[in-house]
Amino acid sequence: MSAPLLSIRDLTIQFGGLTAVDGFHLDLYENQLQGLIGPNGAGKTTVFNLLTGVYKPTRGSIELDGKSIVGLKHHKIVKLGIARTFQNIRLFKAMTVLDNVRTAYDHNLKYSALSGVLRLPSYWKQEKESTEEALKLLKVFGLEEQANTRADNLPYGQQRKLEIARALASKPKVLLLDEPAAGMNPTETQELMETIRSIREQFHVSILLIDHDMSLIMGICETISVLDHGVLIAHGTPGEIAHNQDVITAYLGDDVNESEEA
Amino acid sequence: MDKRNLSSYLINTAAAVVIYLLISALISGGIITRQYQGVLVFACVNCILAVSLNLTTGFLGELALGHAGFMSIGAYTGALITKAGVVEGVPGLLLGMLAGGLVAVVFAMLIGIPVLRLKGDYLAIVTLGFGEIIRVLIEAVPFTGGAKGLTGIPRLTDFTMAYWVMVVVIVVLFAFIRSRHGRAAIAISQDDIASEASGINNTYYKILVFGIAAFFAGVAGCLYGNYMGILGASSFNFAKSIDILVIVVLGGMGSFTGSIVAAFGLTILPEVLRGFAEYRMLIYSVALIMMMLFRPSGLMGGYEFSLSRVIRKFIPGKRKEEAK
Repeated sequence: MSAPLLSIRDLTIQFGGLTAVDGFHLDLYENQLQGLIGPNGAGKTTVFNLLTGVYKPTRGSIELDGKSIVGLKHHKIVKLGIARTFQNIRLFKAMTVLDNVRTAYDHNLKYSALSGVLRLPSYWKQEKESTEEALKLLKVFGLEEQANTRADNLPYGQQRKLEIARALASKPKVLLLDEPAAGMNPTETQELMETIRSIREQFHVSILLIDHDMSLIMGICETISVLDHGVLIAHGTPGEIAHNQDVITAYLGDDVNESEEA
Repeated sequence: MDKRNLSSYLINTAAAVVIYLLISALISGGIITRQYQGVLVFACVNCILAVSLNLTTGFLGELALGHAGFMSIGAYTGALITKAGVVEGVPGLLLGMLAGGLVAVVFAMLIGIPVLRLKGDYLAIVTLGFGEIIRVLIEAVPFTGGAKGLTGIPRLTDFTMAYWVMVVVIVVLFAFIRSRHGRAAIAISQDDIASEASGINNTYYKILVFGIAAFFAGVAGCLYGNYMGILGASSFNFAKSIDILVIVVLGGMGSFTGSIVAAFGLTILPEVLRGFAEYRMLIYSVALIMMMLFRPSGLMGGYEFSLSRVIRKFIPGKRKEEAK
């Protein structure tokens, strides 16, 4: 196999005395779909925050396309090609669905503030292009009808979709999805699974997925990494993970009596 | 540019010209007295201050309390330039406005770059302190006339000048907020973590918006100084900043048209109420309290009044009737 697109080595972060992530490593290859699971508080979202530059790692390296991205600011990392969604949806609520997506095109637009104010031809051209692209993207998610609706007026499932659409608008190479199925019913989860599969085909992105919904994770991920207390305890195909003794222990406890008490 | 945009540009330009001609006719007809002309100039100045503050407070969502400070910088810079008389008359005033705005931007960068990295109330406190520091500085340095005030400034501002500068400022700010930069600013106010995650450089856009607001506050200050002919630092105190903020909040955070209506209303209302003498401030404050009770999000909320939208509502109606 060729060199990994995203390569994480010995990633560690300490908050005071607490080591939230300890020696995490992962290789994400082009067009691959990987899952990241673990019990509550295992450090999954912290890994995402480290990858996007929200936190600076205490130790370790993160390389995208062979270039280190450690220490870069969040928006710079987005420009280099890592986009994410959030566990608790973070949309620009008072903006329209279309503007939510167009905002993420910002770094692809080049016209200056002055040519924007003077409405020079570059403004009209680039605004038109970005609007068309945004509408195309909304169509993929079945949101084109709601383009002019305020984002917070969308139903929950569509808000999740809009967030993924917005993340894709920044033209990422790697897409980080943080619990996209949270709060969804089984039908919606099934639909989401189809959406995730199809965006990987259409946009040629590698996806790293966090979720607690095992049917989703087991259903679409090619490989799965399991975190517990910040430590990587297992890595493998869905089949291997489902029968891994360490993983079962992490989720259910190792003592039969103990689990009965709980 | 499509037809829809072009038609709304034409409609708004026509509206601005019609309002100007109407007021000019009333002035030359003697219906608007000299005293009320002055009130109209103040209303235009307040309008520029309010829309520019609305850009930071309403659209970007950062509470800034030092707008009077930027206004005073513009006022003194403009006054000193026109007083020196290197360029006479109206071009001198235009030069004064440009210079006043730019000096205000320099100061905005000076405090904005360190402070805008912070979140929440820090900016409010620092800008509040900044406004007061500027006032004290102006009283302390020799070339501003100190506490005695600066006198003998050529009175170049008239209603025509104030009105058209106001129109230009409003047009520029509307164009700005409806470009990618404006979209980024609104996104930051909605969710600053998500905006970073969408590839927006929050700090850059915050400083850009803050600088633009300061520039126009400086321009408004220059207009004000060249209307008054005399400047005292004490008129740019904390209360003045709050006055502007009241206009913005009353008009609606994130609504330029709301700011415009509120600026004219709140400038003209106290003058109209002058006849009631002692009840004047009472009525004014009751009006404010009523507003806060019944329209807590301001006159317009986040909504913009659009003349072309109103007109368009009528035109398709006509077409339907014709079809019948």
